[in-house]
Formats: sequence, C-alpha cells, structure tokens
Amino acid sequence: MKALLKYEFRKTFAAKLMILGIAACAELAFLCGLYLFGKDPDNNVTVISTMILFFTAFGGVIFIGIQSVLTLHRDMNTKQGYMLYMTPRNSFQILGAKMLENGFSLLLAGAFFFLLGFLDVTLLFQRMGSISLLWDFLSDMLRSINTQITIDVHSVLALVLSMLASWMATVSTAFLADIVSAALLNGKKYNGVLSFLFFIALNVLMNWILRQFSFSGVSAVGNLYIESAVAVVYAAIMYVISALVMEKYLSV
Amino acid sequence: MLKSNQVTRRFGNFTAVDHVTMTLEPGHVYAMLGPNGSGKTTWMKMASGLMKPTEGEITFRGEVIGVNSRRHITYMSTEPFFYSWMTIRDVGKYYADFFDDFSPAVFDGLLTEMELSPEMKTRSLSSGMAAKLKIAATLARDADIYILDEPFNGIDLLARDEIRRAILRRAEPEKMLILSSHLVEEMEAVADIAIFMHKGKLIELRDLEEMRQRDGISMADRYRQIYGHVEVDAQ
Repeated sequence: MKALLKYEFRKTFAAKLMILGIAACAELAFLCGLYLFGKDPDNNVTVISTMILFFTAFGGVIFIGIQSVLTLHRDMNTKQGYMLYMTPRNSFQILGAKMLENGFSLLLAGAFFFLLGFLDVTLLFQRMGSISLLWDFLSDMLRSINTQITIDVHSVLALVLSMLASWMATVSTAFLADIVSAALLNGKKYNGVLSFLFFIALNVLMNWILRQFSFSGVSAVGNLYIESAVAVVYAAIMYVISALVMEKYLSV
Repeated sequence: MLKSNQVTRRFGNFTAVDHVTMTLEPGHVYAMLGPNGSGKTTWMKMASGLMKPTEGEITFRGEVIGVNSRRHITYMSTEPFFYSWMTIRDVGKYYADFFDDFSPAVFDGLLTEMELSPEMKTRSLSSGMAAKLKIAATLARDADIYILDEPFNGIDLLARDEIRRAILRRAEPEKMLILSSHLVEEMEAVADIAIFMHKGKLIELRDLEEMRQRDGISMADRYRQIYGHVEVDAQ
C-alpha cells in the first residue's frame, strides 16, 4: 500500500507543484501590495492578488479532484495502466491508494489555503486597521454559500471541511462512473454518454442523501459536521462498489 | 504449470480468443505464432492477469490467474508502457518497490549491456531504446514465467542479438518463457515448442525438435504450411 500511495502522489506531483507556484506568486504579490502600496488609495495589487489567491484556492482544490479522476482514467484506458495492474496488488488496494491520495491531497490543500487565508486576513487587519468593508464583504460571501453561517473561525473551518468532504464524495462518484465505463461499458455504443448520465444520477442521489441528514434541532455548524461525516461514508460506499466492479470486470 | 482451459475472449461480436485449451510446462521456451489478429496478445494479456477471459480460465499451479500469480509471472507488452514522467532509474525503483524477485543489480547490468543511461527520461527514448528498457525491466525479475509479446519488434539486428542473449540467459529448467513474434526465423533459434494460433483458435502445439526429426521441416516451414493455406483445420 505504501508503494502504491507513493506512486499515486508522484503521478500528480507536477500539477500540485504548479498550484503551489501560482499560490506563492499571488501571495508574494499580496504581501508586496500590502506592505509597499497598502496605504495607496489606488492600490490594485492587493485586490488583484487576493482575487487570484481566492480563485487558486478554489480552482486548486477542484483541479486536484479532477486530476485524480483523469489519472484513474489514464490508468484504465492507456498502456501506462499495465504498470499498475501488473503489480501484485488487488483492486481494493489500487483504488484505495488512489482515494487516500485524493483525500490527503484535498485535506492538505484545504488546510493550506485555509491557513493562508487566515494569515492574510490577519495581516490585512494589522496593516489596514479598520476594515469593516472587507469584513462585510467576507460575511456576505459566506452567507451566500450558507445562510445560517456567521463569520468566525470555527464556522469557516466547518464549512471548508464540509465542502472538501462533498467534493471528495463527488470525486468518488466520478471514480465509480469511470470504472463502470472502462469495465462494463467498454466498446459499447454511447459509453461516454451513459457513464456521464450515471455520474449525474449518482450525484443527484448523493445530494438527496446529504439533505436527509440536515436536522432542524442542530446548529448550522453541527449540521455541517454531520454532512461531512455522511459524505465520507458515501465516498467509502462508492469505493467498495468501485473496487468490486474493478476486481471482477476490468481488463486493461 | 500454466493451464489454459477453454479460454475465450470476446470484444462485442468479435472473438479474439476462441476456446483455447493447452498446458504449458516449465523448462521450455514457447514461440507463440500466428498472423495479426490470431489472438496471441489477447491470450498473453489474460495469462498475465491484465485481461479477464469471457469464458474459461487460466490457472498457474492450480490457482486462477490473479493477484498472487502476478508475483510469479512477468509480462512485457509490445507497446511501451512506462509512465512518461519516469527516468530509466525510476523504472528500476518502481519494479524494486513492487516485485520481491526484482534484482536492481541485474537491471543495472542489463542497462549497461544495452547502453542505456539511467538518467534518461522514458518519454525521450527511441523505439529501440524503449524496447531494450522493457526487456531489461522484465528480465531483471527472477520470475517463474516470462511472457514477452514481440520482444524483437522495431529494433535493429544488433539490438536483437543483445535481446536474444538476454532472453536465453533466462531459459532455465524451472522457468517458462512464452514469446510471440512475427520474425519466425528469429524465433526458431530461441524456442523449443511452437504454439500456432489462427483466428483466435489454437491450431497446434508442436515440439520443434520432434517436428524437425519426424517431419523434416523447420518451424518457418510449418508456419508457411499452416498460414499459406486458405483453410486450416482447427483442433
């Protein structure tokens, strides 16, 4: 399992380095903007770099998930897959390594960008003093995502966690759809369309399941934690079904 | 012992391998022969556990081909299959990480013999170099069965000689080698048993020495006899 994990990380290393590089450049620009031109009323550097950081964080997390699905797709549909499937490892181990790698990467990226965001907001406070406008902006943004959430570190953490868990569950659904496509629908007419429809149907199901675990007597933050736990359980169920299909039907 | 029992593989309406039954023993070098589309590669992929039969089964020492058999069977496909981000050294490390029977020393020796530098990226290799690397990685394992699909494909005469020597060094009494190639005469110098396949069916499995003694013909002659005719009776 250790070797499988090592190579799963290695396969996606270059792309993660790229995300980190973009984030580092944007952070550098943010700090320059803050400390060199912070008092300048026409300073756009801070605003632009903040936007780039924000989109890199969201885009990066989404990209990590998509890249994970693309890596699995390549491993099942190109000759490079021989490298993986000729090893004495079963489908549960192979897919388990992929899901763990994706989970770790998402959590690490989430934690990294959360801490970076926290640090930058703190610096912004220190540097600019009263920033009620920024505060209002952040509160509005958060409320647009979840109306019951107030802006404090605990709430933001719960929200980030639930978004990551939901995304992880979506990625696991994409894994299953891609495995069904490669193992059961391979060579069949409308393979791509059918597996995409299957993916959409599973996503609708997932969202329905998640909605069933939103309780009125529980706080918004509590519901976010419950939702995160349900999403993780859903991802685990997707993993077991995917590995079973892979083990029984996949030919590379 | 590798047993193929009524093994069939279909792709939609096309039958690539059609009820192939045979038993292969250690201590032999098998030449799997047949024109394009005769089912050689598909059968080899099933024997190495990469592909699942539609019907029938292949067993190794009585156990259906699967995770466990991959510890004892090594497969080299005709196409390059290494990850493009790897260097040649990475390929060696990868095999060492996954296969207990892989010898880094043998791998390094084969690289030197084949004039391959460990620093080279696999994506920058010529087809000949990639073929040599496939051979080096595959033969650096001390496996029980070596399945090599077209090991002489797309490489020059001198490189073919190097590869042939490397393959023959692995031909030991307790090991089994299964090779496929369109270079029938080249295979005659390596193999001792020929497996003739046609349109997915096993035509015959012949001991080459016995064929030469009894029928007075070579493997290449037999190939011409079988595939030169329009209709051939299958088993």
